[in-house]
Amino acid sequence: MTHRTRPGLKRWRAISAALFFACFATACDYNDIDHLYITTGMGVDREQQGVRLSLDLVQPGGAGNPATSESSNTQGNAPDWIVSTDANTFEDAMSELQAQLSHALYLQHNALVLFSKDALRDFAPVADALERNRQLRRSQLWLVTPGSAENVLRGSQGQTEPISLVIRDLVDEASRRETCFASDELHVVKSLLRPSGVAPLAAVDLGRGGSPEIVGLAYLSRDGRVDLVERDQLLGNAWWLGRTLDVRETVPWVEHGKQGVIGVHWLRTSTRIVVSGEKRPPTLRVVWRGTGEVERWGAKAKMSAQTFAQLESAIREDVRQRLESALAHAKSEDMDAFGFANVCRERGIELPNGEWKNISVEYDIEPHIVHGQLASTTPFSEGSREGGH
Amino acid sequence: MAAEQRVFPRTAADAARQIDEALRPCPDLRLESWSTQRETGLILWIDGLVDADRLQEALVALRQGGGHRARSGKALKPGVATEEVVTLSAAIQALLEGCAVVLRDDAHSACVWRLERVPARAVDRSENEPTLHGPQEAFIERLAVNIAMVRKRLKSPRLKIETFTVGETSPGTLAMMYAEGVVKSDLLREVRRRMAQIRVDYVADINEVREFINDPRFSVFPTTEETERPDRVVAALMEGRVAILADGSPTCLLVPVTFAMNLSSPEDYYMHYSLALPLRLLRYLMFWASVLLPALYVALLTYNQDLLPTPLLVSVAAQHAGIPFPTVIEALGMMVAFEALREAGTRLPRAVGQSVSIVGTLVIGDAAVRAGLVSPGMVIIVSATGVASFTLPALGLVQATRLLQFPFVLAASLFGLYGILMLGIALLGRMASLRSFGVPYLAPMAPTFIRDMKDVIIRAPWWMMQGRPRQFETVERHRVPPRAQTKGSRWRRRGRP
Repeated sequence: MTHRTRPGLKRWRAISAALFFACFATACDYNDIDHLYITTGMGVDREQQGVRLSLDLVQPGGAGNPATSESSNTQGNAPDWIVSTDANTFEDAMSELQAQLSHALYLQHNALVLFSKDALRDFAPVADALERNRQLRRSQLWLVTPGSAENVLRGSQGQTEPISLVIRDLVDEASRRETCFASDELHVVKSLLRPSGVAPLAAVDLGRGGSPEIVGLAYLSRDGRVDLVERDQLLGNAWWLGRTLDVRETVPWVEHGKQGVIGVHWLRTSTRIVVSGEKRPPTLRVVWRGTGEVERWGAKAKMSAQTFAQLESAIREDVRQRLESALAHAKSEDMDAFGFANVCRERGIELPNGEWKNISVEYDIEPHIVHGQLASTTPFSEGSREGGH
Repeated sequence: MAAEQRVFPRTAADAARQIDEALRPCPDLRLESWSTQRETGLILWIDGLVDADRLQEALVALRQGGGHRARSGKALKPGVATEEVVTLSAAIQALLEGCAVVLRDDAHSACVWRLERVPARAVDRSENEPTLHGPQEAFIERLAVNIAMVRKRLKSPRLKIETFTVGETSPGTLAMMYAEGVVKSDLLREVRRRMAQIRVDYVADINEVREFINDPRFSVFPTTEETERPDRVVAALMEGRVAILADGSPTCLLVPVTFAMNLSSPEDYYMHYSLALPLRLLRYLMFWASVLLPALYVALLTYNQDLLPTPLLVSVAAQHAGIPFPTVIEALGMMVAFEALREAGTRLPRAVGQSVSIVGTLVIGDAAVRAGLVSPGMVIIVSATGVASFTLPALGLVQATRLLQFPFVLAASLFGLYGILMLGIALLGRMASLRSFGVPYLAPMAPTFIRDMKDVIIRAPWWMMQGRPRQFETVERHRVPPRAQTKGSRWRRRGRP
């Protein structure tokens, strides 16, 4: 009898012990959703003492809750609320904010880190903290704002979802059209660690209506320098940095001595930088390919083979000018924004510091226009021939 | 009982008195005397169990025909089926079965007239296994009718029926049906052995039989298949399975059964085969949803919030704000409430049951949310779980999912997704270890029978399912003998339509 019961007893003891330790190992992670402050965004500003950290927290009692939608709360009926604090370091700021809050901070859903331009001057400690924090995802966006990050987070009005998610959607949509805006942490850090040491970040700010908007592109160098490119200079930079989809531009067009414009809708463009030749410094060939359609044809001339060739030539020249202008700006800022050093490294060529500026560039631009006059002429074309608005 | 085993007394009056004593009080026992030129006696029957018209006709015939036929005994067989019994107990049993017992003086035996007309309902549509296509009739509570319904479909001398008498106090009849030459002999032996071991005072329903012959004594998973459709029984017999019917039960047990069979519906075989695949996939999905959905919800809200998309998490957090209970208590409460509503809807008369269902939905779904007792998400999850369980064709499997979802919720509340995973592995292990009359429960998936896969997730066209299921190890492997190669078939293979 004893022999028959012992194995069973041992088995039950083993199962009980396993359950006991499993409880310890996993049940300690119990965190009911009611006991969490879900963080959807962070704002990092530079203060005299150190950093000012702002967190965008989901407010469960805010908009969207059918049970409590009629009740008032700390910041009205907003879907989120912002808490801020100053501290010497990023970690201290996190601790202080946690001390102010009645529930645990939940960082796994943090969608973005919004740096003020000033804060990026000394971004290494913050970046180090962000990289080390296991709760934060590397897919979170790193963004720049020319002014105060806290103001961007606090100043937005009339949103039905947390402002950070609005900004993330904004940037996601922009990065679908222009890949240079895909400034998630993983890509930014990888770019900073490459030979050129420059990463592009989307720049956002509050618009006139109080809603956030993309104001341009910022280049962040490893040494903390930031160069903000305005929106009117954006297209050339976007072309340098990769593919674009569904973007539009106006190309100057001269007909019979009169200045006009042609609207071009680029369905897709791609840019490759290729090292040509073995001499040092090497020559880079920029291969630009684009497929587009003429969206606004303000010329009197009928579309013919000759006109078409002139049109493509004009477009080619415009693209070249935009690329050259972007490169000139990068050189003036002493930022290898377009990764010349990276391309050379891939070919086994080590460039001395600053040598990238002496590299000669050849442009291989081939625009391909797929629609002609038929699709771009409207009854109102006559009125827009002179350029119009 | 000892008195009832005695032989008949000399006079019919004594025999009738002893029968009356054995049955007393028995106000529905009727007695009438009869006499012919040579014999006298009594006839007994129980009112309501006998066809009164035929009894009167038989009595008239007995009285009129007794003059010249009494010597040969044919007077006692006035155009009805008869049987001679020599013990009182047999006579009493015949009375209780609805027969008339004819007692004669100086006979020491009785003649039993088979005139039973036991109250029973007519054959009706299947309510528990309704289909849009195919046969619609279902078994009733009379064994003879049920057997006839099977015979009507399977007109073959290979259909064999063995009967067993089970029940100490009230003996009932069980019938075991199989197709000779198809079913494995070991399976028949095993079914007979288990049927012989049944010890009950009476058989109220086939479920009692099931619990006696079930493979694992303690398992929530059904290892026998229940059906009320004769067409399904015939299909099972032709697959080499055994059907068990009980007198008084409108349900038939089919053994052995596998998990996959519980997820196939009769409708699958009556519709186009291309539709069976998505429907069966849906049922597999719904099975796991009915077991896991509340548990996943609890795990995601209490441990693994990082797996939810951010907008969904924000929405769920907004819904959950102000709910006074932890998620697991909220889930368990809702599940219990849903089960209560389901039970109430089942037990109450149909019209009232529907009202309860609607009122319950309104109360739980709307008022409770407005009162801040439960979150809308939880209502959706529990309702979706209930709907998912309703898609399962086998009632036994539905009951299993109703039970299983509770331990999964508890595991999720203690260990999160890790707990669900561990319990899921244990459940699969348990299912893999189950046998139904020697057939692995997860066959033909584990162990794998490739040929039988034609009728698991997909339902192959009938012309592709020429073989019987390998998992049942049938004697005949093919449903029809493989066709000899003919001139025509060679010609078709050359590419002509």
